[in-house]
Amino acid sequence: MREATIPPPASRHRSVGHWRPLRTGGLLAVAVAFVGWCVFPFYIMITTALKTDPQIFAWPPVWLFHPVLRNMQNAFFVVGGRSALFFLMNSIIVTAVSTILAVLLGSMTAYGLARFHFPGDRNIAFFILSTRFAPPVAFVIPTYVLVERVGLLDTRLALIIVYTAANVSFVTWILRGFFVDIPKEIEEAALVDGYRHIEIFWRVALPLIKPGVITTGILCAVFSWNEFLYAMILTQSRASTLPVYLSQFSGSTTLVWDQYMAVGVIAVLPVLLAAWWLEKHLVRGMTFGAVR
Amino acid sequence: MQRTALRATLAVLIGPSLLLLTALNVAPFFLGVYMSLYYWSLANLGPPRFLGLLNYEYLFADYRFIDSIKVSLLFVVLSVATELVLGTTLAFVFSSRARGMASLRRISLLPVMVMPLVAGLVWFYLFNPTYGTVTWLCYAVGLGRIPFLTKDWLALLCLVIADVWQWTPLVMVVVFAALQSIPEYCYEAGKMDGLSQRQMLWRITLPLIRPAIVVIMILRAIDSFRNIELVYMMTRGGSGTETLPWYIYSTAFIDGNLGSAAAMAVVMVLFVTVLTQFLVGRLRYRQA
Amino acid sequence: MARYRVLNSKIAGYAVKCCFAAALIGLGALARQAHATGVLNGETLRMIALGDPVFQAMQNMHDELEKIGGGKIQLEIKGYDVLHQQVLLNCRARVSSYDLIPIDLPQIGEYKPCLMDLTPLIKASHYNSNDFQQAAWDAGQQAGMQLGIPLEPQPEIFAYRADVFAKYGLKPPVTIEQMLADAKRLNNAEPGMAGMCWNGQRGTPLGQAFVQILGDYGQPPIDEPRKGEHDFDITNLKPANMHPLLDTPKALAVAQLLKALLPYSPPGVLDMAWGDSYHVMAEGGCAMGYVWSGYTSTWSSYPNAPAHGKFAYVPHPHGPGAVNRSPLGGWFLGIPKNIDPSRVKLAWAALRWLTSRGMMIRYTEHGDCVAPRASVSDNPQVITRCPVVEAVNDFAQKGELAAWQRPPIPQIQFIYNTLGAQMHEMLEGKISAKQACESSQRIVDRQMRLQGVY
Repeated sequence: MREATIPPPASRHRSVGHWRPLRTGGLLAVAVAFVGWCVFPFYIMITTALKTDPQIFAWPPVWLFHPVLRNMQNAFFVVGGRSALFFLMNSIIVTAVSTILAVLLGSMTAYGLARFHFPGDRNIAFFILSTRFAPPVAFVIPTYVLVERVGLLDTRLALIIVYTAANVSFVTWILRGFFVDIPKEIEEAALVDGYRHIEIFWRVALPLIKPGVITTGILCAVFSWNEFLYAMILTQSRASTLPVYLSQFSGSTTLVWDQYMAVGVIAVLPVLLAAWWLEKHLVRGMTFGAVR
Repeated sequence: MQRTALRATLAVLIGPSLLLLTALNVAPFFLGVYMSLYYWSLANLGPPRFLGLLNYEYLFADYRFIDSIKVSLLFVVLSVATELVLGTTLAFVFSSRARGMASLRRISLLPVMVMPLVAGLVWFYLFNPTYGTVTWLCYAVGLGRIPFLTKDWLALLCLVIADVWQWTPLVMVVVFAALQSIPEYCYEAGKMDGLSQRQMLWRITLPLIRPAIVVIMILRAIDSFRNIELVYMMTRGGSGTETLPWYIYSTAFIDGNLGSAAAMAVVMVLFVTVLTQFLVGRLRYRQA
Repeated sequence: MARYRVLNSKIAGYAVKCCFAAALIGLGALARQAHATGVLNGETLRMIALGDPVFQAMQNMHDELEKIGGGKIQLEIKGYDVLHQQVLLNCRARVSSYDLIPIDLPQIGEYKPCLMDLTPLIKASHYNSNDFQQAAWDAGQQAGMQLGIPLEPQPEIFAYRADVFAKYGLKPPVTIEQMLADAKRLNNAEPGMAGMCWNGQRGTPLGQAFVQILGDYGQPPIDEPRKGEHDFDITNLKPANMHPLLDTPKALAVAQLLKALLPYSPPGVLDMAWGDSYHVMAEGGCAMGYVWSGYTSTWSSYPNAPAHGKFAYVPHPHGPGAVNRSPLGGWFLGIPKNIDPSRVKLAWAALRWLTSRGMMIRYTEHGDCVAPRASVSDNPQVITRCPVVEAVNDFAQKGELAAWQRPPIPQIQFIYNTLGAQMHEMLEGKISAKQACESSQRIVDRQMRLQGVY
């Protein structure tokens, strides 16, 4: 007689019951091939960033070469114009502030939706979720006009507001699931102790879902860091972020590949590090917790 | 007293987000509808000219608009299908207990986090006819110097490859997590019932991971429909890769015709809204 | 008593420190003053630019420029379409983010509301424009206002490999028929060398190529009034002149020419735009090609380039019944109208400096082969570095340069985009030449009506 308990979570490396691989070696080979394909473009990016101009355009491509750090230097500390460092700073500022705001607002909304049931809460939740699916291309046109009228064109503030709005729905949806999982007893105890709801949110609930908050925060940061369309249209020179720098030369094939790849590497590095640390939590974040 | 305190709390908790989202989603939509009724030019500093529904008339007679929707749908179907098939298969592969699989799995997640623009940049370099690595590889195996990004159907395929490269690992990880969460007793019950391996796969595993696959399929479909970075960096709409987002962008910010682009944007939003109402409704249902 | 003394000494101490600080600050200011003798006066000049040779030259000389200028220079280089978009967005902002803006000659009509009239500034500083080539100077005017100073005005001419032509006993083409025949003859005659290089990239590059070849057939893209037997007047275009002429027999001939050229062009020609095709030409990948004269530095400034010293120059080959008319274009510098008024002085000083004779000679040293000033094009060193300068002078004197092929109307960019898209589809084999011409005509006509032009 089996007990009616919750089955223990499956262990990480347990192989899927019946599907016993006949040739482990074969599977490993497939896995390695796949990973190789995933990693190959990174290899190209890094090596191109370290090559000299003639090597980049060489045919057949140069595989062995002496790495040169000049491109990285040029991209960031120089040459003739606005270095990528400026764009990097803007990216960092915009990402940091918008992430903090999004997590703050989103967690508050998530808590409100998770703990309180009021007429229309389903509709509000639905509305908030559906904004995640808004295509940026369609909204950038009126948003541009709006931002221009308000006089916030080419400011970091405009980007921060836009990114916060874009991230809020995502944060709300994920954290709502986390909040729902908190046992009610803890909060009821706090209520009895005389805490107000907002205090409960801030001091009790939020700390309890700290891992969720951190993961969601990092995912928001990744989104803001990578966002390109709004940044390109809403900023010209003062507030431009890294993706704007990278998008400048689309369609032209002869110019500064080395610097481009160098900046590409830098643009991608922080996000890759985040991904490495977060692999476990990413899945839940990216699929709205539908896969438990 | 309790009621008003509750209401105040709710207002503080949910109010700011709602306000923000209304200002940046609802308001722009209506502004977009308003703009679509005018000739609104990026270059023209004069007041916009009222056109009524003329933009929409021209739109539905515009073969480029219809084509862009077709291309977008084709792109979505090709890339999502490929990602699903590859991702699911690889999820099974990665479930094996071989040594090193866990680290390999972690490494394979790298493409997902890359800036889509950088992904486009790198694949643009790889497919370049003059010095691209992939071009050279094809040349070296005797396929000749293929002009990947300028040949009609091949260009769209290149975009699909870039998209598949970036997102298959995500699909793989999601399905993998779903596989891992199937409790052991399901298989034991199956074994006790005398099911063969293939039957267990069909009747136990696949149905149990179906919800996860559906979720990730919906998410990927919607996300790849609105993808513009790949087209922006790799082909700029040439050679049969003019997707709807690119056509809207180029009409608005390259041709400078904001009114016409706003009309297209309205159509796109309505289309996506109807779609998400339907799909998200199903998602909600499943979660509940 | 003691407290008084301590207080006194404390005050004295503070006083000394303050004086010291003041002295330092004063010295610093003096030092900066001494340093800031250059044009920029210690300020930062903000420019947006293209990857054209002159701006690349500026980029190469960046540090030198900052030293001579006595200030900082912020130069942002962008691609052609991105630049166009950013200039328009900048124009709509309340205050301009840039002090100087580059203007491609045909864009001067579109940018008219965005540019400041330089005439009062010219008068106030007694600026002498006689050194400039007349055609170049006049091209910077619109509606009686001087909106731009020529920085890099140049014609697009035709380059051919003199050595290869001699080897095969061919003379440089004068008509388009000869050009096509030569391309066919020379295609793959030498290893790795295609017949002809041209801009086939979808969008602006192909659109411009089409319009310019249309000019070689003797027809402008819109219904411009005639001037003389072979030319047209673009100074006073009326609404009736704005009707597009993209579905005429001559336009069809151009479309068919491009299709005919495709097999004799390098692989990837449908993705080539300016720099790309010149790169290929410099590497010996083409026997002939259209080239903007400034870009000839791609081979003439690099002795290691395989094609160095081997190209010779003639005007654009013309169609039947037409004459040599190489399109004039190139870049001007202007000041945005919405610039912060306190920066106008800086912008104007920088503008004069960057277009001065000394700077232009320096540009030729760094890979820019354009010389709109007579004093520069007569300079023997410039001629050695950039042999094309003599050819351009020659054409200019014969009156073979013209700007009517690309009228400076606000809609010209739209015309490029439309032609660039339609013709690219034709070259990919998706539509016929006739369909491409008809679509282009219909789309441009509709746009003109939408804008209320006629």
